[in-house]
Amino acid sequence: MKETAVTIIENLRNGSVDIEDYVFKKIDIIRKKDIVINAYISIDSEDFILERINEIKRNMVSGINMKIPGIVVSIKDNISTNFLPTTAGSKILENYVPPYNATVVEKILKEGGIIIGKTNLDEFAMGSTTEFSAYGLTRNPWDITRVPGGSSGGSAASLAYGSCDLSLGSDTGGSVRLPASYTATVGLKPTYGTVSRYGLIPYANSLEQISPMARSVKDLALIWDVIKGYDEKDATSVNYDFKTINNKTINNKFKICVPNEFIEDSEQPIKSTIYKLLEKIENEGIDIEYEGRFEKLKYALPTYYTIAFAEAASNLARYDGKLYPVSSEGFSYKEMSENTRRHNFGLEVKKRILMGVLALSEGFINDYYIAATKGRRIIRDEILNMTKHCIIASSVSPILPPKIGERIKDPLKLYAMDIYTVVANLAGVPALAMPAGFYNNLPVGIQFMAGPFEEEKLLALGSFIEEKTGLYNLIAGD
Amino acid sequence: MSKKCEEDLINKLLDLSRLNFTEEELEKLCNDINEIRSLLNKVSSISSLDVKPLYNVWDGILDPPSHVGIEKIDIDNLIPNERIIQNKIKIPWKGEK
Repeated sequence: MKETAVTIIENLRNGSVDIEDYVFKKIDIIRKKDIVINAYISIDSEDFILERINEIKRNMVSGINMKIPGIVVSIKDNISTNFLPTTAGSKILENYVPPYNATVVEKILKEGGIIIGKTNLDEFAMGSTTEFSAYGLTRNPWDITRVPGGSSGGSAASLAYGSCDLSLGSDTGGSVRLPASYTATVGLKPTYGTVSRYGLIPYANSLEQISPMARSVKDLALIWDVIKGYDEKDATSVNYDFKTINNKTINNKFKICVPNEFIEDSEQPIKSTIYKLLEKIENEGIDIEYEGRFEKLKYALPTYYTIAFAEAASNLARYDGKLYPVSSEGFSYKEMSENTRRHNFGLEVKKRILMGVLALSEGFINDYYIAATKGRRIIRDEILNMTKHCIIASSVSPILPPKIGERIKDPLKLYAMDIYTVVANLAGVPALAMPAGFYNNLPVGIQFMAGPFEEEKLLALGSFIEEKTGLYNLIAGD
Repeated sequence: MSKKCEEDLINKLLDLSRLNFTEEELEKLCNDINEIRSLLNKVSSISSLDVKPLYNVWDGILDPPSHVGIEKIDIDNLIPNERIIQNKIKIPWKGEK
């Protein structure tokens, strides 16, 4: 039986594994491998980790029930922590330590998780490759000449080389699902509003969600259970009672549909790997329909990017050299603000701010931003209708993990990587990315999209599939 | 600046976004902006459709939470009435000059 977070918790609880030994083994792995991979921007001090281990041990002795005691968690560096800097991968937030923890961080600490460090990302989560970080690019542990996907590439890589058990990323247009697909890990973009965004450094508020990652769907369910739930500190948070679905009864219960547009334009190795997996699960009794269409997919990328740019321009206006520690000199507020932004934002971020300002400007707003919000309604309504009847299966990415530098020179090629993932963000529905197989030793992922609040259904289906394929808890280089 | 760029537009955007660039960056930026605009232009065809814009993804679909995260701020409770009456403070958004 493979070792997963679920089995590790059992071993830590019954004392067959010592928490301190376990956690420091993870630190050793980081020491050895992160020099090359660069999954982390900051790591906790050993003294701090030791204090935390002792606190968890005391709680266990006192009989305090915790969901993930001693489990090692990495956190994307756009999620606020008051004990480690939160840079969002940007020079403009260098050494910034927030005065508070994000709600999800508080929940992980309360449930006994050990936050080992903060993971690398594209600056302000704007990217699909984790090459746009001010702290250097992250490499894919399965092939270090390739990218791990983005923007939560650091979180995915930290899992893929075995430095932690669980991770948190954020997903605005595919930012945990694309990295999951490229690193043979698992990522869930939850229903909009089900995980608190309080403490998430914002990029595009109406699209993004803090999103869990793991090396198996069962482990993902663990961290999902910890972080989900209503939070009064987040005005977009929604109340919902999740029902548990017994995964032993899922055969024939779930119908999967595979709209042509969601797969056919992918590279051949992606298509063949996904079709092979679908055939396998069809043979296990799951009903699969290939006739469906989703012709609105052609609007998805322009709709998504218009909205994301507009929201980014608004959100990033706050970095003016006054509110946050990093500041450049200037003779007036305007000059100081311009200099701060000029020297401390990366080119991709500046580009997206400019495009957002354009989309919101007089003379352009109707043709861009307002048109995109209409496009969003059309896409949302169609996805809600489709997911009433079936779980939508699709490629996660149209291409295999690209080589470093291959995609970032051309913005359209870069944005095209998100074609299958942005739909779930526009529609607000949950989407799961998990391993479908390998091609030439490179991971290939599959995406499942369900109706609002159907996370448990996705987790049950994913868990069933990983049991059949054995593609879980995969560690690069093992 | 590159001829590919609409100079007035770029200058206006730079001013509004409080950003500036080196000449080299501007050159790259102009190419990229033109490419990105070609993508965004595809959404413009939707602008004429009789569809209501969607700003909140759960607009009209989900029940609102039992209580909202940020309570409405009642200015009258924050500022005692007599202080407003005595004209000791000014509240511009109530029409005072």
